[in-house]
Amino acid sequence: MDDLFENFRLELRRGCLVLAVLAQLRTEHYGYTLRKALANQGLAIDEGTLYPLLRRLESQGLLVSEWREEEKRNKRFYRVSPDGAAVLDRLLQEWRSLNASLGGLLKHYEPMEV
Amino acid sequence: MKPVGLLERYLQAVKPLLPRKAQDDILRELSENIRCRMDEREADLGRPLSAAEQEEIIKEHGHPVVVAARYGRTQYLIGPAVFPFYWLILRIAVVGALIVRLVVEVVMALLSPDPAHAILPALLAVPSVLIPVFFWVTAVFAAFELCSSFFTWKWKNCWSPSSLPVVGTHSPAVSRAESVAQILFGAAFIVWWQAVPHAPFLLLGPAASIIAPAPIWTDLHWPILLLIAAGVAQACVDLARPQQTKWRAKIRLAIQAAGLIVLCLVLRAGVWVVMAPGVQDPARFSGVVEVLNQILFYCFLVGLIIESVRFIWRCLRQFQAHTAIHAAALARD
Repeated sequence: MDDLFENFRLELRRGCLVLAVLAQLRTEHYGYTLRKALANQGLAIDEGTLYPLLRRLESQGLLVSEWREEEKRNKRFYRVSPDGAAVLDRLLQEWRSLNASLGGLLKHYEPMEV
Repeated sequence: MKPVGLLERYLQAVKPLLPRKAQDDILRELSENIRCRMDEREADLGRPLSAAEQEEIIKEHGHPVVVAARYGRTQYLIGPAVFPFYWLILRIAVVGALIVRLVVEVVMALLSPDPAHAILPALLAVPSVLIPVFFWVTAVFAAFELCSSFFTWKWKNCWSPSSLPVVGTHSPAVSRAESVAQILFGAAFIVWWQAVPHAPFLLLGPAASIIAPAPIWTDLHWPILLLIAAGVAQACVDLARPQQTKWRAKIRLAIQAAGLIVLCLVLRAGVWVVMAPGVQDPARFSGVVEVLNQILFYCFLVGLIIESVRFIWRCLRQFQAHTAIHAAALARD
């Protein structure tokens, strides 16, 4: 049962990752600081998931990136592209609608006694 | 001390597994991100990291194979959309191949000079057919998966509600699994059928040194090939547009009728295997050839009866469907 719950939990989180990353990249970040920023908001993402996701979103035209020096180090900075911003707006609408629906469904929810 | 040694070893392990074009860029970014994490940890601790601490950070990043795989485009050989068809066909192919191989091995063992000793090795050889079946079915479906984005696009975009059948006038859809199975087995049969004249071993197995196909198979080579090709073409159309239509049912009946004619011609031949040229002791094997021809006669006869019954049954169903549609049209008017 724990494994089943863990699978559902991961699926639930996975669905939110793109939305979270696009939202956070309205301000520029490089991989490491993005991960930290998300973790600080309570959305810890495994590095092995986040960095390939950034690449994929960039190849899909939703992010733009550039190598730049900061603190004497070259880092790749990502930010959301105009297309990415449009997708983010639509995803946010969808998220709010889902959230409202679930809120309605769960308004009178009480945990079942087992 | 900076963790250059461990990190570089890690990056070196990841590198060959990455997509070639983006290899250097990905490694550069990975390296920077891991270094940032280490720097921050050092700043928190106020001292350089120990080897164990460096190792812990690198290990948390993930196994090189897993990390590299996540940068790859495809993470699976056969995806969830194609997998149900793959699984169905694999099961059919495995069971079919086992039965065919079992029959062939048992018949060959019984025909051998010492059946009692030949039967056990023959039975032990049966499971070996599973490896090529698994390989070929998986290879075909993996290739299909590679092209599936194209097919999915076609299915999603090339349709219009007005092209769908009118309510109440259509027969049930042809099963996609049935169509896929017909395409795969039909294609495999065509390849095999084309190869048989050059390699009778493919048809007769080890018995090819004793017996050979009779001339009837040469005469009917192209009709049989065209018949199977027509079936494959029909299945392709069914796969793209699974809804049965009046014309499709008629075309299927026509193909089945052609199949019956070919089967009649095969049955009429009377001889389906002959002694292979150059057999050293023809008298010894003439009985085997005769028995085989008798067995084949009954097989083709039973096949012809079953196919005829199926054909008549389909004709009747087609007639009933036609009558029902006609009656529905009259009732509407």
